[in-house]
Amino acid sequence: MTAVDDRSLAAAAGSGDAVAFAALVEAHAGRLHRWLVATGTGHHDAEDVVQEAFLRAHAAIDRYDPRWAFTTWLFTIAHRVRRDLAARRRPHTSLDSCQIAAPPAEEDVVPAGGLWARARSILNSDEYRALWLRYAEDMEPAEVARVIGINPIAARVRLHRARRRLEHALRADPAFTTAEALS
Amino acid sequence: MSDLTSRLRSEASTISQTAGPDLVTRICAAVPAHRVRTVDCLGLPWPRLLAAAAAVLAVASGSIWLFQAGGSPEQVAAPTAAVMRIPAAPALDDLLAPARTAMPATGVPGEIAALQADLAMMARTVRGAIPF
Repeated sequence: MTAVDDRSLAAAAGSGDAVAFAALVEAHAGRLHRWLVATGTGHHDAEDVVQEAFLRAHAAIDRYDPRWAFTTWLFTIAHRVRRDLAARRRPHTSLDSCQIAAPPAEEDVVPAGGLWARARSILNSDEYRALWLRYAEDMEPAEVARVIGINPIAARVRLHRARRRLEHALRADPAFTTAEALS
Repeated sequence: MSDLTSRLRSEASTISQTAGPDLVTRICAAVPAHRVRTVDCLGLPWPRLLAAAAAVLAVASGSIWLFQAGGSPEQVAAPTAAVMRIPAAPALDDLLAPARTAMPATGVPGEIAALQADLAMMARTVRGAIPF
């Protein structure tokens, strides 16, 4: 589904079209859930976060700014919902200061031994989330910045550092300096 | 570096979506059938109504002041200046000009007559600003 389709569906949903909103849910719930699980949220929590994000989006659809992609808005809401959830469970620990914990093996969506699994082991949570949004969700740096709540320059710097750290680590790793990994 | 980018993208594309089959159904069922809208449920044009109310208030306060002060032609024009700043009352000065020339203000009775004509004209203009 293109961003233009999303915008027209969001406009229709804003005027009360339940079918249009259901189409948005159908199109993006899976992607959103995958991002949450891949970046350290368990399956069941991720489902709750996705549901809460869509409910908040539905309640605030009048405030959706079509200058941004619907997915950017939706992921921004989900990021805040997840942060709130983490804060309720760990009131004295900053989510941003934590390293991403890999989900249990049966829940992990990132193939073991792959590039993303390697990235998760090397990068901190902020870098990994930014990298996922940029390359797995194909967001522009400005959109990444909006989702994770930082300014666009900081997002570019974070992405650059993440790539550089990942590249250096991969070059130092014999398993990844083979043709399969970096060529 | 560009190869790293393409590898990240291509590997991400192979990672399947993870949501349970009933998640979409669950979300759609949880969405309230009738969303509570944060905008005015009566659908009234509040900005225009407020502008009209402000115009009425300006005219009323201006006329009270005028009667208390005993009114000169310049003072008659003073409250209308406030009304003319309301966007919904364009060219009010032009509308009032015939009334002023038809009723020259000669003494207090003349001023009161001119004021009455002005107020009647302003009232018509304010009514015109109200969309229903």
